[in-house]
Amino acid sequence: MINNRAMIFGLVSCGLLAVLTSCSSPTVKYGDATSAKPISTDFGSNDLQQTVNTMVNSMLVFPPIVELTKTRRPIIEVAKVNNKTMQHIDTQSITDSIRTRLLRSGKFRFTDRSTDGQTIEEIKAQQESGLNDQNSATQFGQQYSAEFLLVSNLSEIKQKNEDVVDVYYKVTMSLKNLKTGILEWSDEQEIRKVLER
Amino acid sequence: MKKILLPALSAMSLLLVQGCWTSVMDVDGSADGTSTVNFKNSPVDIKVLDTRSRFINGLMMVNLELESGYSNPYRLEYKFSWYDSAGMEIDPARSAWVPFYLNGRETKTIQGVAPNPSAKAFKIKFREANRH
Repeated sequence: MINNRAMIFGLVSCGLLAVLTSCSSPTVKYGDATSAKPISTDFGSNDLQQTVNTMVNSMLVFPPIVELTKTRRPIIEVAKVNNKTMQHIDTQSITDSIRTRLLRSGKFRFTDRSTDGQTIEEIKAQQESGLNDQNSATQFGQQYSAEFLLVSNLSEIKQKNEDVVDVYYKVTMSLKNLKTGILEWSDEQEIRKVLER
Repeated sequence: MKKILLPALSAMSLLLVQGCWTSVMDVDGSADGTSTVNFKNSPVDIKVLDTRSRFINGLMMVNLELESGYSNPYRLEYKFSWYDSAGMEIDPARSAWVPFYLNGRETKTIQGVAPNPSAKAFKIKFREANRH
């Protein structure tokens, strides 16, 4: 009986020790990139994924946009997100994700102003380096222009007391017709994160 | 003996379980409107009231209406997966878990739009962290 007790006690102690020591030593492991588990009230990866998802879905099924994309793929330029929060957020990654999702839907085409410098350099090299067959070299002034501009704002309202930090994020996006100036589509995504001590 | 063993084992299992997600149920559906609900472990008190799908501009759109049978708020996460006509999953790594909060006895709708026109079927996975 005493032996049994000692054995069970030993097993339980070993188990607890194993769990506790595994918690105390630093480890590196791969995590789930799609996880929704919040770590803090800061704008996190899942907030970005939720925003992208909501905005893209909303735009794709909005009746005037459905009509617009029925027979052709309009060209869009994505403007940088206006970050009105107090946080440093890589807003480029929001617009990159939105562009990727919209492109992969097969309903839109995109221009990309952020790579204009490299494009000019490449076209110049094709024309002036003497390496390229000039019949196949790309000429300046032939690129298509965007018909629409996707503009976005990200804002936050933060409230806190001793026990609670409450952060409300709002992302607003609009699709502006560059020719007419009309906003063809707009939507908002709201996210609330609460930290309780 | 049991007095010592039980709390010790409970404490150990609590440490191991903390932070783990538990699959709750999957809802499978296809373009013809049929859908099935598969509970993963013991059935939870969440009812799927209605599942609808339609195509908008070639993209499959799904509406799922859920009702909580719990009197307290219930936190879930869900994730859409989309499948083409051959049953192959489309962009499997792209779909993110979405936090979902049901107040006591509340009815709420989940909506998803397929990433491209090749989607002809869907699966919505639900998981929970803990009950409140």
